[in-house]
Amino acid sequence: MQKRLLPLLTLLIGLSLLVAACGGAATPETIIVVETQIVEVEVPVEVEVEVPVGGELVTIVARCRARPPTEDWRCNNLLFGVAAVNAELEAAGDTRRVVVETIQDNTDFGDIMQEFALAFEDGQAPDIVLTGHEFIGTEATAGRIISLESMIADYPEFDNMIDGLWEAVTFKGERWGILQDTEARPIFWDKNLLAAVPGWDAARVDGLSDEIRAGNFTLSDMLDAAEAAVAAGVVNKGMGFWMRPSNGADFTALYYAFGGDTIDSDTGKLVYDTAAGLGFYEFFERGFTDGGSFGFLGAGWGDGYHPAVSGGDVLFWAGGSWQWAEWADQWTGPSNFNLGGESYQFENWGYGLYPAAVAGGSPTTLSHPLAYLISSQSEHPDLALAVIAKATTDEANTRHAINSTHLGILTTQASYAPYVSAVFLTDVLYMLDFTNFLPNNPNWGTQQQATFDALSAVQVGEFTAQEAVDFVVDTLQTQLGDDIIIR
Amino acid sequence: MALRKRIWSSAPYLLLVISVVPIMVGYLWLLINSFSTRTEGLLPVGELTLNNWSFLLETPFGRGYPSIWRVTLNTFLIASFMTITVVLVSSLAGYALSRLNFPGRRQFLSLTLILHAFPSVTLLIGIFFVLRTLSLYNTLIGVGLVMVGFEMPFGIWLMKGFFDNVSWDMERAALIDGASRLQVWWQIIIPTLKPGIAALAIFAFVSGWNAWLVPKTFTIGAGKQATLSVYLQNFQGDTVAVDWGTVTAVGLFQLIPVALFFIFTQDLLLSIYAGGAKGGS
Repeated sequence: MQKRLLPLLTLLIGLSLLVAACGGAATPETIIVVETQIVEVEVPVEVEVEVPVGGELVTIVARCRARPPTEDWRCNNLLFGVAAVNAELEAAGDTRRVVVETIQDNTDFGDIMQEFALAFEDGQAPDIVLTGHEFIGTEATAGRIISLESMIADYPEFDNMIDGLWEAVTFKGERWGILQDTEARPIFWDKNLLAAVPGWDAARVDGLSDEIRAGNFTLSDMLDAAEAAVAAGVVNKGMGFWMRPSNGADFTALYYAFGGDTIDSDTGKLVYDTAAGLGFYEFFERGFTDGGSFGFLGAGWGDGYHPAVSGGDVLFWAGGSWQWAEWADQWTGPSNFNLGGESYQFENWGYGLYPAAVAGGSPTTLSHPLAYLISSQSEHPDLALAVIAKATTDEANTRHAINSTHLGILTTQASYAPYVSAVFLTDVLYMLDFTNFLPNNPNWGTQQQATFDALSAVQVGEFTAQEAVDFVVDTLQTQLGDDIIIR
Repeated sequence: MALRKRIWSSAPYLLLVISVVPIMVGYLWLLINSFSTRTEGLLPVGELTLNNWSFLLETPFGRGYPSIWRVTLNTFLIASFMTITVVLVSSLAGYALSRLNFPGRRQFLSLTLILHAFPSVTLLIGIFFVLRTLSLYNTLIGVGLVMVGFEMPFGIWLMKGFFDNVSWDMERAALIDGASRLQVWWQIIIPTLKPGIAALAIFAFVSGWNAWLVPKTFTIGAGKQATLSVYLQNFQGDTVAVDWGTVTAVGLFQLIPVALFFIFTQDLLLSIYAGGAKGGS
């Protein structure tokens, strides 16, 4: 017995020593983060609901994907709506009362939708599922969600939605979801590094965002600067321009920048534009070949992309507006480089749209809004939508927007004081005027994957730009047949 | 000559140490990192902290997520159910396959081997339809039964192997004395196979405790049926940096029961030989 307890005892002693060491004297440190706004609101854990005699208590189950702590409000905001919905039901003489049960975790979008499909097959689909808008095509076609078109007018809260955003949840001419948030994908740059590139100075760096917006600074100019930075030793080879290290919507933004289209408005079929595709691959081919940009694919997020872009190693990089908060919290903040968080980012980083492909062209960005969808198995879709409506207010949405650096979705948020006080959000809000969306088509995954596979081949020199386009065309025609239009 | 002999005799130990060092370094990093803000190699950067263990007190995934204790209880229930069921059924089935001659015996053995050879992922959709029919989707018992099904072929073959190596003599003597088959199994054979049963129990428990694919597929996300491995996965996101401090803390937390189980059963496990307890009993 003694022999058996020895390893246990050793482990306990070791742990005790470690825990004791954790209580060491704290070193005072000053971290100046002036712009971050944290809106602290206590979530009502228990909601008292009085059900009238003969009435019905309805539980609305909401399933959300959220990364804590910055995205907690995706589902939690729904809890706030309960009291208001019940008050309205009472005023209308409706004997139903509602409570909301939330299931919120950090599962990937694909996993959530697989889970939703299985739960639906079993008759246990949650009433509300929050996911990327691009799943609407698949879910609507499968009959797992309902069209909200005829119900939206019943809730005045939705009149406040920014009109252009409805496109993201529209499928076959009808709206199938309510936007929960949106974002923009800016190009970021390190101001100090850029100012050190031959031909650049602080004034030119400061004016870059406006130059991009006016269409005067192109993607080609960006690669020129990246190559010049490498040649001058300002950054290491390959560190001139980075994008995300894995497949994702950022690459579609660049395809749009080259004039690409993804959906045919008449037929709803997917479109692949070979000219835009060629421009897209030639851009990367040049970056990979000339050394201004390379190696980011497969680099990993936590061990490649984030430390490189936030640690001052990369000149230009494509990111997302939501990453601004994550960088401030996790990378330029105390847990990693401890550079000063958001104030450091404001001082040292610039941001703007994806530059136009040609001078005088239109710059662009891409938004990937999340949307609340309502299951066709929901027995009370009107109550589910009523709860969503109460989460679609300036107060609720700004709470989420500020904590997660997502953009507002309501017209009045642009003048809503807490939102306006968030400098970064206000700075990038104009990008919604230049934004595009992923297509709501069930086959989009095939096209996105084929595009990315070809890009990976270009990175390693296996394909030329033209061969990459040919590969994408072949793949799409083989896999999608008549469901793809090649232009 | 003596030196040479000593070098030769210590060579296996040297090889063992070399092969074990990377594993020990891994565990050491796990321990250090769970109490650190950040590490560079094995060295903590900054002060040691208990923040990574805050998941013990409050859920890091928002109000809708069950606490770690509920998740641990779920995992424990699945692992325990699996251990008891696998050991009981495998012991009975292994005995029957070893001692009795019945029609379809060989085919049954072949079929269980084929089931074991299937990658579990290929069976998921089929299993989903079975669970749906039985109304067991999104239930702990459903997850437990599926896990038992996956573990059973291994258990049956393992126990059959142990039974095959137990001498017939004691069994015959008991049967001649009037014992029934069940009495023979319970009173004569099983006591000689304690190490084998302990081995199967620990395999089944660890398999249930660490299960990810089955709970992930057949339960609804972070709902009331969440298990530890699914919980752990929530610390990783698509585009965000992994919070390794908390991941290692949760990983260590998940490791504790298995380590304790091993510590208290290692005497039995180490006395396994092909046919049961060393020296019989």
